Amino acid sequence: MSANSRLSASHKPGGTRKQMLTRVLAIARVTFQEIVRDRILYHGLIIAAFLLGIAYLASQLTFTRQARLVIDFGFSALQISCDLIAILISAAALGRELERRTAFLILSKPLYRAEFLIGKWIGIAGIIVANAAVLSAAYLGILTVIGGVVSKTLVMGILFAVTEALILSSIALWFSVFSTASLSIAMTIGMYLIGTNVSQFRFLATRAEMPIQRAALEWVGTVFPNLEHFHIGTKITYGLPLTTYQWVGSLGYGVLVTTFFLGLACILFERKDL
Amino acid sequence: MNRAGSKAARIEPKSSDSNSSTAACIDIQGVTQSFPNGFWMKPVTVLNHVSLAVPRKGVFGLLGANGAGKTTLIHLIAGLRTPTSGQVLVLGAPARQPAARMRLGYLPERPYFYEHLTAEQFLIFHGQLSGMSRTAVQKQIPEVLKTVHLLHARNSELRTFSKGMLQRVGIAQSILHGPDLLVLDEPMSGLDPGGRHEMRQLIAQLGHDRTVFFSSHILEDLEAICDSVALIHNGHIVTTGTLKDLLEKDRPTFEIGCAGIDSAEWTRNTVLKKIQQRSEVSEGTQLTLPPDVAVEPVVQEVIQLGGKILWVRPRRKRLEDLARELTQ
Repeated sequence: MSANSRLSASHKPGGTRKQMLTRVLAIARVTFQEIVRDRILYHGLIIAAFLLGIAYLASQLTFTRQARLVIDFGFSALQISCDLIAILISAAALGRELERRTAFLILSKPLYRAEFLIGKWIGIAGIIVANAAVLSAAYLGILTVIGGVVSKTLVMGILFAVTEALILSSIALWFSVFSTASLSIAMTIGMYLIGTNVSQFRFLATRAEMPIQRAALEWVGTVFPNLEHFHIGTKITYGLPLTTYQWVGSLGYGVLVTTFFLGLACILFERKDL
Repeated sequence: MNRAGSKAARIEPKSSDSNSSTAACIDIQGVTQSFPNGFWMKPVTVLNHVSLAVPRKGVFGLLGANGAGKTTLIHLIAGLRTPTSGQVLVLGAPARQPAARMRLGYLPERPYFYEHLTAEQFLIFHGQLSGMSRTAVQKQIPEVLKTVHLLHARNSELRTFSKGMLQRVGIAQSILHGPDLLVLDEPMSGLDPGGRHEMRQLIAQLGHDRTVFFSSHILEDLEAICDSVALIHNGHIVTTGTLKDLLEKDRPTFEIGCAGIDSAEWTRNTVLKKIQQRSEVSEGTQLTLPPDVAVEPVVQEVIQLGGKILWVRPRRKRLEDLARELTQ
């Protein structure tokens, strides 16, 4: 093969769309492999396995509503594990690449920095999905063994938990572009706490007496991503159905928020000096 | 110049625009780089109005002490940061644009690689990032690994590689896509003498058909393989040019070895007292003549005084002398 044809398609800065996709997927694959070897992933899995074990044991101690206990405990374990893994891995991913200078090699190649960041996020997303798949298999297995029913709402709940973890990973990645890993973790957890209590902030705003207080609480309730859309605990416990509007709306909202934070991260990273 | 004559396969650079063949490969125009130093302190200026033109083809060395600004300058060339002011053009394009990096290969100082990858997987990954198809990379891999003498380690994981092997696989990823410009940051850093010798040979070989720009603070490395050098000191380019011009600019000085001269003559004799640099060696006395003192009168004077000439040899300026002169 002639030397000239080796890079023929990349005369256009950044290369063709196919080359961009190849690069993004190559970065995603290496990121996925790197995280699989990381201890953080196993810590998250161990916590989840421990909680699932407790759920099973607790269900053996009660005479009635065994399945309900497993559903509640198991689902919480899955959600906590996905969120923890998403936050811890995403917050450290970029910093570690820069610290070890692996990013220097990659970013000296003819690619846009956004490709690097999106590739990293896809790799992390792959880990979150794989983690959720493994835990869901164990969780639904235990539920079936004790005679519980795997409802459609429960399956949707798992999908929502994954979506929430993906949002949190994009937020943590965004923070990690301009701060340290530990600060990114702290700030993402802060966003999570606010995001899961948005309705409380809005309620407090209606009760606030001082205008500044009211404005601040309304601002928090409006600006922060509303993660309550992905918390359908009661519906899962009682197997209540979700309307199409609810699940399509929530998943759509998740895609929008994730895209927004990833976009912000890409813009900032493009301007960042290494 | 110690140019390696290795018979290993060569990775030819992709192409060079015929119309830009005379233009500089790297053109740094009045670049200043400052780093923020907290909220209240004044920013620290690491590079101060640096201008440098690196010619096409050959090995160009950037010499400077630790903290002189070498790595910052290399980061600017590799497009990893934007200068506070000024412009960096690489092969005619602004360094921060992907277009500039299409024909550039880069190896950072003390690089870390994904250890779980084999040499082949590592090269496929970097080849794809450079815009090559998987098939094209796989076809290119044996040639590249042969160039860096790592063909035997093709399927070994990088975690099993020695420091020297990692440096060489790093070079392999940088030449995989046939770049016209190679930028290497302290490529000999941390290598044992054998590894350094191998790396020198490799750089010299790669410089035959492309530009190799590398930084080092080790003078003998630069003197052995560079065609041109630039000396950076405290964020300023102190001097730049071909090694030949820089070192042969001044007339060579001479060293004369002699014996049997009475010590009082060194201060009394009108010819001998002009020689400031005198040292006692085992055979006698070594005189280093300043450039403005001719050899013949000194030799005649020594013989007239009953002394014996042991040797007369020219002493060319070394890069070390030049660096010392310019940075003091």
